[in-house]
Amino acid sequence: MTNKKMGGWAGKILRVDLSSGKTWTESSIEYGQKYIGGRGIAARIAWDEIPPGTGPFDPENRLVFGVGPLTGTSAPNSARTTVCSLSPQAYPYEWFSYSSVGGYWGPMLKYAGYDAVVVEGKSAQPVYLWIHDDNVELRDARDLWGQGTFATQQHLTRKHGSDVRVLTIGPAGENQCRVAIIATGAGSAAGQGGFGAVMGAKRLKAVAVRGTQGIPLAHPEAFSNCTLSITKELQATMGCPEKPELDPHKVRDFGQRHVACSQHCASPACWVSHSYSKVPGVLHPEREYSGTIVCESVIFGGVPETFYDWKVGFQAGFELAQISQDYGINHWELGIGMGPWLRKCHQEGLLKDLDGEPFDLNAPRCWDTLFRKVAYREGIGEALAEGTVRAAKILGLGEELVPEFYTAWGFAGHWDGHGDKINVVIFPYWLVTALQWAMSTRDPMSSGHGYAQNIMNWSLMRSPREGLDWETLADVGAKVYGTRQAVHPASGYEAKAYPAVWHGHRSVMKDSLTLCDQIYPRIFSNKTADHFARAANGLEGPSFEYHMFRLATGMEISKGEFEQMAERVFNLERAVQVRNWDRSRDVDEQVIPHFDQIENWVNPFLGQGMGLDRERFAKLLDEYYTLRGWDPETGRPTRARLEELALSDVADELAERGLAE
Amino acid sequence: MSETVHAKPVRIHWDKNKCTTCMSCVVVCAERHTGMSALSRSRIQIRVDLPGGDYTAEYCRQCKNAPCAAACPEEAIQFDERLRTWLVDEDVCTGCGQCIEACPFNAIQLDPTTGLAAKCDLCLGATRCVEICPANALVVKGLALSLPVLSVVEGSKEPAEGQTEGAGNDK
Repeated sequence: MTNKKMGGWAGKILRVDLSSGKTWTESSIEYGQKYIGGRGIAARIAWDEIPPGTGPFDPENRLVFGVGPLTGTSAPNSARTTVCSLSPQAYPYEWFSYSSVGGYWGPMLKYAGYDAVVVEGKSAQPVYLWIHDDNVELRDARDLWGQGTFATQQHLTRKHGSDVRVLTIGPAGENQCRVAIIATGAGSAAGQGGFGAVMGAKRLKAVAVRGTQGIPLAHPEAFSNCTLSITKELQATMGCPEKPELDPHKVRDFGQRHVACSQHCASPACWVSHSYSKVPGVLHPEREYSGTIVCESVIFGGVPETFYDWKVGFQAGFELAQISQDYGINHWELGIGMGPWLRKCHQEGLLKDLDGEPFDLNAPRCWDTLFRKVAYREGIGEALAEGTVRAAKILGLGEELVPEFYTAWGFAGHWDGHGDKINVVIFPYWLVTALQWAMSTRDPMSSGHGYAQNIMNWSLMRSPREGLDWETLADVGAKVYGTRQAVHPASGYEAKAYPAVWHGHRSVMKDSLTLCDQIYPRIFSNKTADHFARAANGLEGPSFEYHMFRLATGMEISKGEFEQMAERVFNLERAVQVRNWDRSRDVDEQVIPHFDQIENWVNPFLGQGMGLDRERFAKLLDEYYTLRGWDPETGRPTRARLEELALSDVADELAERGLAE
Repeated sequence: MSETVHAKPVRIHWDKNKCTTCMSCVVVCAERHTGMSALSRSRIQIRVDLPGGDYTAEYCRQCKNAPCAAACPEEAIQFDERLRTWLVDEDVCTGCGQCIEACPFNAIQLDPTTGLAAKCDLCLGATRCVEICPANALVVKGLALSLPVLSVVEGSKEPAEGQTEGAGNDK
């Protein structure tokens, strides 16, 4: 590498010890060249620095804000930040997990010169971290403690300039709610994982950044030509061919418009992200709300003709999305998990009211009350702040009703055909999701979107006008997964392990480069004769990540070697789980009971609802572990595979602990 | 000094209602002109106030009587009759900053690396910001058919609104 042009990475990792108040930097390049960036760098830090027995609220826990070699460049949909830490939300294992957040913060961190910020220790007083290029300061945040995420951002941008970007927690994070988010803007958050509570425990209120520098590119001209070509391919909508239109009434009344939820979004018509201005409040008629809402925050208004059809209405729903963002609470947990679970408890007569206040999800007031109780741990909120799965145990309330809504690891259903009742996915596609859940530390989105959501949204079931028929989907699938059976609706358990492995690697690439999870990998298209995505410059959709990485960083590696970098990260994450939580096949199989139930939607090819066939799924797991080079008995990575992936030191430590041969 | 009669300038136009504030134009401009991804080295800026605040764009209007050119003591900003664009001659510019003071649109800045005036040069015909804009919020106006260097937006079946309009006005 020494003689070649290098770029992509900013070059430094910022280290912050809140206990001593010290900050320092180290080179990020060695990390990046081995683990890509973001989630990959975080995995190495977890392996090196988080010993077994550490909990999320311990000072020894690391909180990593990671960006990657593409963040802040013209690579389309590249502005994500991956937050990694021990997860307060995860249950029963508070293991090392990850969450992605969009907006403008990640690029700004890159422009300031950093590929990651790693926070350890615990501050005696509330502080915020103020990064402006090479200057890094821990500042007193006692006057910000107690403020919402909106007021905190406004305060810090007034103080440091309107171009400053802020990640912050609200009261929920300060009060160490296990469903607390880290927020930026009016609608972006690292939601899943409860990492807001980790910031709360460390007494880190916010991280404000201004970066005025540039990110070098190894091959600027070729890179920009490549990103332009890929941008054109992406200007279809998200993993869905049908372009949603703006609602003329909402355009007139509330200024509805398409908006990028993150820097470099090339798909402004993405139906999950809309901006509104000056929407009058319903709960607080004296207020007006402006900002963006994305998929899960739309839930608060209720979604007609679905399970989530409460009658809150658009205006109050928008207001509730902002109120909960301001408190810093996880929208998905509240809207898809806790709210529906409480409603079920209420319907079954197990829950009378919320500490004397009426329980009725059709009433905006009820949601508002719920948010407040969770954020401030008031009354029943003391337990609910622990997240639904723990709360049910603490309260002895509706424990048997939890599995209907919660798939595994303390997380509500998500593209699995069983837990959530809004993301339409049918057998056999949720088999791949089940494998992804089995291997994950959270809901496995960033690999689940790429397979189940992508296929379903491109099917005629979900996109009757612009979608593709099942046979065409299978034909395109063969180009990616090697066989039509990986995508054919009548394929059953055949060829489902390979897509789970393949998308597992895409998941690492997305969270490490960093790229948007809704957009990548590109597979299907309406612009090519064979419906396989290709850019105008001839690059095939699934290779977009590789080519942008290569041209930005200057690393002269093959597609196979890039795939291996992602596989290295996946194995390193697994090694952390094996070493710190004794992760094994037995643990993975804890997801099985959830999938036993009959699915929420029916495959039209089969004409009847399906549940999991345990015997056949066991064989699928065998197939998965074998493809991964993991021992099918124990589910642990083998020494041979770890050595192939240049992780011999990891194999050695596992062997010392009796966890590898 | 601006009394010379020039051809009508070609310029970029920003449609606030279409802009998604994705910043692609800002970064691609810096990449095109400096080989780096940056906001600070771009000749177009999208300013976004968060959370949920207003947004605006700062970019060169290629004024007919350009105050930047008039303010330059070195006459380093000259109208290029072929491109119909005001260009900074970096060999002549001293980085004194008087053009920046003169510009009513905040469209010129001193490049933080070179220390010289940096303004939109329409990519000498390629207008990368317009090409990459995913929302057609940026268009080229005043485009005449006789100007051969401007590229057509790839993959777009119809010319973006405003492009047609601009060409029409120019006839």
